[in-house]
Amino acid sequence: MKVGFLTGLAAAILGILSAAALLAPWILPGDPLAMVGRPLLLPFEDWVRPLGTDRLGRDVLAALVHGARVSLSVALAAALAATVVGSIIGTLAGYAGGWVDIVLMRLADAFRTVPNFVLALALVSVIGPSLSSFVLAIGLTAWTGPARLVRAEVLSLKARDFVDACRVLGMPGWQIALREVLPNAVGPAIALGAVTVASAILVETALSFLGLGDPNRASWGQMIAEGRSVLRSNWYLSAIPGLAVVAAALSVNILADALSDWLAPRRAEGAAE
Amino acid sequence: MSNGLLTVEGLKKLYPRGEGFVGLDGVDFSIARGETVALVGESGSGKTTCARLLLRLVEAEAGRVTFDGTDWLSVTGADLRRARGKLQMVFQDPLSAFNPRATIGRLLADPFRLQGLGRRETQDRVREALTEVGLTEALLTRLPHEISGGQRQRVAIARALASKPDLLVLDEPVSALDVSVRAQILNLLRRLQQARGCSYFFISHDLAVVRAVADRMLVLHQGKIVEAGPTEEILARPQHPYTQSLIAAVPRLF
Amino acid sequence: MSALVEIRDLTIRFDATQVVRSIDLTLGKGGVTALIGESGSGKSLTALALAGLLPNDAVVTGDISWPGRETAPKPGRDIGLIFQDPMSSLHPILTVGEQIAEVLAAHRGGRWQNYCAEAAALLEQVGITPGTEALTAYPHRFSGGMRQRVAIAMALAGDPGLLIADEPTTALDVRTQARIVELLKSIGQARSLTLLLITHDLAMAAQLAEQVVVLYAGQVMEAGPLQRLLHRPRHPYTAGLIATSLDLGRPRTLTLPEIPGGLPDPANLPPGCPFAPRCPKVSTLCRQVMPAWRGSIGDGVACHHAEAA
Repeated sequence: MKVGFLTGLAAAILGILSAAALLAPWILPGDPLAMVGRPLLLPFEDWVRPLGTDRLGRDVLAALVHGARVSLSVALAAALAATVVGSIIGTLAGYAGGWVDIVLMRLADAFRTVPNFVLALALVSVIGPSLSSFVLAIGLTAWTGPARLVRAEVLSLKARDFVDACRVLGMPGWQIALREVLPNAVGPAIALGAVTVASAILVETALSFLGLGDPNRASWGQMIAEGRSVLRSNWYLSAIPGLAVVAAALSVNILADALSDWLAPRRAEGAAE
Repeated sequence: MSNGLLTVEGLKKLYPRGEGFVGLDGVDFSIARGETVALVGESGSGKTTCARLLLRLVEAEAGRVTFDGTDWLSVTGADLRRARGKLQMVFQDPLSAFNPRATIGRLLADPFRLQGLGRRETQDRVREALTEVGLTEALLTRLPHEISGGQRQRVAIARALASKPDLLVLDEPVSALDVSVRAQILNLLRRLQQARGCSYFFISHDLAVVRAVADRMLVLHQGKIVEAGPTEEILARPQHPYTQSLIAAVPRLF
Repeated sequence: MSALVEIRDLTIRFDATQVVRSIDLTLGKGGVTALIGESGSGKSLTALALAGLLPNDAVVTGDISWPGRETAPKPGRDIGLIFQDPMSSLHPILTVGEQIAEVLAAHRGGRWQNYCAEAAALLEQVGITPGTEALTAYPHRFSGGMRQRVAIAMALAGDPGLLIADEPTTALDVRTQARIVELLKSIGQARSLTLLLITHDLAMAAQLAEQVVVLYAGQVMEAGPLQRLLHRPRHPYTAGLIATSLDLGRPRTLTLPEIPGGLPDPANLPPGCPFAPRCPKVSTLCRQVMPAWRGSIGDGVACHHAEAA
């Protein structure tokens, strides 16, 4: 598989961030929100605190790495949930047709008309901040994308001979839908799921920025918010986590492109000798 | 009539197309046990609709089908799923008739699994099926696009015969195959018929193929059967102008 | 008959797989040659090589020369091409008239609107009358046979000297097939075209072709005049193709003659003759040594067991 330079770079960046996120408790143990040093230490001043400290003397690097855990895990979980739920709903709607299709798609329309962020905001305010409420909020707004994509694929797959062949064998409808059709229909949804990860990172960051995040956990959005008060003098306190957000979201987008390219020709494989 | 496996009366299903209709416009025919009857028609004649009606993939507007003594068109739901084993189909394009992500092993196991057989018994029956159609076990792990057209069609035949059907509908089974492979598949089909005593409903636009396989033939034109009878008889002395024009159009080598 | 094009030692490779191995072919001016082959025989690739339309990753060696021409022929103008599926060779969103007129405009300059009358005339030549009415129709309104006629009209628009038809009737009903074959025959004669017909259907080729070239696994197995090949085939593959052809003109047999085995994988060809695994006359020599061509270009056979002509 030929890998372009940009894709390789994106994979490397995401790899580093993911590794950092996974290994956070070991490479930078302790509470990232603990006050560990002199406040407003500049980056590279003291090699024990390579990225300096914030207003309250908290280690920026530790917060960054632990914040990666929050951002990436929430984004991944939310995107996964949205893709799985959306794919199943899309398959049911597409295969069953009739009133099932109408009801499910009108439901999707209802969710789609509410702006993602507003819905997430409302949900988190009501349920209270926590990782699971984030996953729920983002998932609830993102499932409609995969649902519509999968439904479209299912509609075209339904007309293919192999579905008829399964019906002729006496395979029950739900088995055809979930075992035969769904795996062939999820390609576009997976590609979209990757993009959903990117937008989930951004939503999570925004919610944390607004102070709706879990106050007991470090997160990039929170760091950016905290850095506002010293923006003139210590701009890097907001810029560093901001850069991390951009790098993460951009890398995911680039990898999502590569994934969708890789999936696309494979789906056409086997056509005509 | 008591030897009749399948009797079709007034079967009809039309689809609007442009200013007219396509599909089946009321046909009558019958198939006896162990017999091969061919349905000859060009595109748009309604032959695919006929196959889909018999296989209950689409519901008829009118007509009656008596299959193995039952009123076939009124069997529904779970009864239909159970009864389907007796009437199976081989599709025209073996590539599109298989789930592109399913291995040959899984494709062959499906019908046995659906019959409720356990894993070991399914595996045994799959191996038997492979041998019966002349394939090796090496194919079990391959995907449909990784094997040749002839091999795919053998798999399709094995899959269709797994439930030991009384009637097998074959929709242009050799049209998509290379010329040097067609005779192999047709010979295989005849051997299988002799061994199992099943009937074939063989749909084809190729009169030369029809002559090689069918005892009787039905000529379908614009949804109606315009001529029916023993194959050799019709080919030698066609009565209907459409049949005559079809036969005249077939290119001959000699 | 003077030669329109001479192909010598043509080989085509994709990555490590050789799909066409050393083909020699001569097309006589005004003649009809049929290239007979099944999947993987390299017949379509040979035609594309002739037209200069191979994909970029094809590695081609060999020589294609056009005696009597000073410049290389342009596909579309000097070489007309017709493919199997007319629906994919016609633009679905342009009217039939516009498509044909665009071809005319592309080769002669100017705007396509100036060529409508000529497009209508071309349509009538391929049997679509009245041509002027058909101009404003879209391809999806036409039947398969009519679409193939439109494709033929487009191929003729550049006034080519060579027409290559790749499986032109395979996707059509038998009566339509017969009509298209008739059309190709009459057009070929009316315009003194050289016709290269590519097909697996011997019977269809027999309606049109004078010369036949039989390909298997990217190599020429036998070549010669059609009637001689049909009645006295020298290569076992040719004989096998004829025997397994289900033909209404021959008596029916209960068990059909078959060629055992399947087509070879071009990436995994055994040494020696590619047909050896399936050949009824195979010997040890066949499995080890590739048979040399016996005869002249366009008239000979590659088989250790062929009798001398």
